[in-house]
Amino acid sequence: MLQYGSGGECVPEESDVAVATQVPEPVGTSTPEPTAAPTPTPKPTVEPTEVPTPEPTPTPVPLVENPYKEYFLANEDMAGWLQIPDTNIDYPIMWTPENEEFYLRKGFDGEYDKAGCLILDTDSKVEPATTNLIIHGHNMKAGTMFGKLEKYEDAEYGASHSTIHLYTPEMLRTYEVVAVFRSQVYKKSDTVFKFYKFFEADSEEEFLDFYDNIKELSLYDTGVTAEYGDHFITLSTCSYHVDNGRFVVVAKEVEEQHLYQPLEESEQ
Amino acid sequence: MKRMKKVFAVILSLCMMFTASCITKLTVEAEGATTYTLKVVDDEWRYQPNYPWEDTVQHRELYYMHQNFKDGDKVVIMESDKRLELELTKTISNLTFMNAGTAVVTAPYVEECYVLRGSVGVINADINKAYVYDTTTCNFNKNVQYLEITTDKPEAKLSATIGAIGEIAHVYAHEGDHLVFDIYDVKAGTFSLVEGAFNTAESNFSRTPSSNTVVSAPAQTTTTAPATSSSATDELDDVPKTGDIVSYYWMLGLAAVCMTGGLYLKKKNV
Repeated sequence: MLQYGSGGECVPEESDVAVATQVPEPVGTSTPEPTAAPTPTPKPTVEPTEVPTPEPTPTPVPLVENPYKEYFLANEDMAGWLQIPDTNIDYPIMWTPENEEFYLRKGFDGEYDKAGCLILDTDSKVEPATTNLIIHGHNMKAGTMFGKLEKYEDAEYGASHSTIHLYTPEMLRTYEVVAVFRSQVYKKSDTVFKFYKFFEADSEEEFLDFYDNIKELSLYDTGVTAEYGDHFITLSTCSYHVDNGRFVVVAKEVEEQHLYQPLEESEQ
Repeated sequence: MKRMKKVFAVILSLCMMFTASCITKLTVEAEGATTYTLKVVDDEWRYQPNYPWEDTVQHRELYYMHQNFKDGDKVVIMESDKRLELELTKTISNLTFMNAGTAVVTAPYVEECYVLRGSVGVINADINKAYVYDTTTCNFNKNVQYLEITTDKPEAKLSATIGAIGEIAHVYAHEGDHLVFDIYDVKAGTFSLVEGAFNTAESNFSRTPSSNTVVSAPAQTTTTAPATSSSATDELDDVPKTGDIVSYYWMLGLAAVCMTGGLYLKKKNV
């Protein structure tokens, strides 16, 4: 047992000292045999390594002026520009979280326009982007806004118009259509899949709940798949197959390019 | 020409029939009641024009709520320790205190008022129906047509503290299916319930309704849901309506043309 001395140091008791000083009995008395001299280990030959060819450092692409800069600067409610090649969908997207429907029947200039503007759902954000950006647009009989979105009902049309571009102040985001389906606006008490409620996937489970449902609802297989971590854009317009019906096109982000100068810098 | 008259008449009829069916769609798209949810954010009362409160949705100062509030809208006051004084000049169809700290609400009229567990509510408005649950404290400073006092669970006891400056036409207090008291025509300034204990003198109320009293049938097992769930039961989710309305106006225009054409032909005695 150890005790503490007057100065706090550990002081062995007499019994400890007695044990420590006991001389151990010698084990065995035979004379040890001489061992053979060890064989020297041959040194390994150093193989010459290949000198790596230095990769050329990619030349940074200079940022250019945003092609929609004047629109962004003309109306601060504009969140982005939506363009689908070979279609007439080539419009600004407005975002007014304090009054989501402000531009529903107003043009870019804020004046009355029955066609309204494309509006980004208040729960979606472009920068930083939420998992899903939901864009609502009128199904105009004249074919403007999302009036021709229902053409995606045809699989061939969907395949040939699969690419969607979203221009934000500094980025170009490109998407590929992953699902096309018909749905509707449900009652608040309905416990069904509501495509318009998915904005952010806080877990893989949430992501897969949305993804699996849109794939199941899809009118055809687009051949495009997605996995947790991917981002989507959802285009929604009225459809008359049921009351409060909606026709929906969901696309997955496949490329994000930082191409454009900040809007303030490009003014200089 | 007679044939043309008939053609005009048929087209006119078709246009009117189509327009009539479309007009019902127009009325359906009329604006419904908005539910305003009030919550303290950074020590300031803020609101959202939706329920439930969503942290990702922008909220605004109450000043803007006063600008947008219209007759028949609904108000939900969320839990908070900060006192709220809300003064509205429009009627409220559904006012719910959801475990709210001291909240004073002034309005011309409240159709239905729910004071849920833990709330402290003061209502300066005539109320048609008021429902008070569990351990709440509330003062009704104007008249109440029907007051129901109950508990969240049938086995719990009444525990509310309620005072009323106005008259109460009918008070129905129960613990689940067990009736505690059922009284009518409570005189102004006399109703008192202190932590569930009935404290009103017999002379200040009646055990039976008078001929003037409009008796509201108490809900036996399930009370009318507060703003939170009643709106959820009937209302659609808030999603922008993106239909086209141009066809209605074209049809109306075509109908007008047909009418004019028909009258012209008639005048020419064809």
